[in-house]
Amino acid sequence: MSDIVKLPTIGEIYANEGQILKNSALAVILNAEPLPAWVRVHPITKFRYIPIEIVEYLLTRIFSRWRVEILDTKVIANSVAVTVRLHYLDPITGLWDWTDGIGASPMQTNQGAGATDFNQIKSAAVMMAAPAAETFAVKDAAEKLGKIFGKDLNRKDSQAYESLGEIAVRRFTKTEERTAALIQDAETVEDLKKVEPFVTDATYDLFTAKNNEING
Amino acid sequence: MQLTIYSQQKTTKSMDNILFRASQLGLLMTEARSKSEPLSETTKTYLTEVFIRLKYGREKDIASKYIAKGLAVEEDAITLYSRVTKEYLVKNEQHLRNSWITGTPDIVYGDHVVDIKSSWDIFSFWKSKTSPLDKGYYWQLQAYMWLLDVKKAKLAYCLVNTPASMIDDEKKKYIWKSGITGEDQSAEALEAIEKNMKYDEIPIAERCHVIEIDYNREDIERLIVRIEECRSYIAKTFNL
Repeated sequence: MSDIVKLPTIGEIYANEGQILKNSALAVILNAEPLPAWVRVHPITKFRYIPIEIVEYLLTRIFSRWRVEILDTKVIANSVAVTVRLHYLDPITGLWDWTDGIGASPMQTNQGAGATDFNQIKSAAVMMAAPAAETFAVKDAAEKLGKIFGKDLNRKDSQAYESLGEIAVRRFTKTEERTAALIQDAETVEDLKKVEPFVTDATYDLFTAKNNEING
Repeated sequence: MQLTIYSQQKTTKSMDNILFRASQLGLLMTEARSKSEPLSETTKTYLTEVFIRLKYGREKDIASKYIAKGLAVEEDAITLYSRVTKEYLVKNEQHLRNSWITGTPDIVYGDHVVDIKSSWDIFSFWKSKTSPLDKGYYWQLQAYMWLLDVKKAKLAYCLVNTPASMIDDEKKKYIWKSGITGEDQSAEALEAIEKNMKYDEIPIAERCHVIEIDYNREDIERLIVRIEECRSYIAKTFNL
């Protein structure tokens, strides 16, 4: 009977703030925020991620012993896909546990060739794509262990706010953007008068605020 | 000012009085190496393309990333120029023509016409500041002044941010070219590409360079003579 896990109360869940498993030091560590210095932003996709060397450092630091088992590799479309099982020694129970992950990386084709033109695949394409896919798979598996491995990096409110910010900018047409810019640049009543004929509903509030600012 | 709207020539029936595009007049006005030849090889090549366009409806593909950026950021560049001049300027959409040429100036404002050139990057922008006036642009603006009957033109080079999709294209090209697959290995280089294509931190006044050009009646007379020579060349060469 001593193996039965004590369920948290609903009150504990509501009050949680990441402390539901406060009796587990490991869970606290795994659900800690990653250091900002560990987090990178991918220049193209803008997704935030933790580099593999940090992930490997954390695995070693937290679990001491871990290993990767490759479960499957296959080609999907123009990419190599790898499925791995990340085994780790649970420092609390002393038992081996595991989590699975999947990753994919495209195989490069020659310049000008289509992405699925397999006659044009570069000679080293598989050699480069397969290890990259494995790396992504390991990171995917590690992410499932907790926040410290980047679990919620791209799920957070900040991501949503960025999207909302873009929408807010897009509500202006190009000409309204021009109107808004000239309103913001305006230093005198004369400057504002020049832009006034082009003020629309979208820029009216901005114009009114600037007008009040200039006229005191 | 009343602007004339024209229909683009599409058939061989229009060959008798071909109208040349203002943006291409520089190609007509290049001088031949031999004085006995009125038309240069550059001009003849262009005239062949004009003939093919009018007879067969095929245009030589001149697509490039430079032209693509110019088209994509046209309104942004007008906004930049508006901010620098503190005048709200609107893109002209009306096509103009007379008996020799056609054209669509970017901006018609007061007593002058403005043509905006969006630089590909800060390097080409500064090159335009330090190099002699491009002859093609000179003739283009002379043409606009002629079409509009105004005496002043402004050629405005503008440096505005490259659209995100084009920045991504440049990054992808870099990744394919360099053969890098790991996301960390290319981060610095990709950030450098992005930095080279965005200019928000540079004051707007430093991102706009304006060259004023006066109308030159004598050059327009030379242009008319050259257009007649070009029309004769097309008629004679292509047996029209």
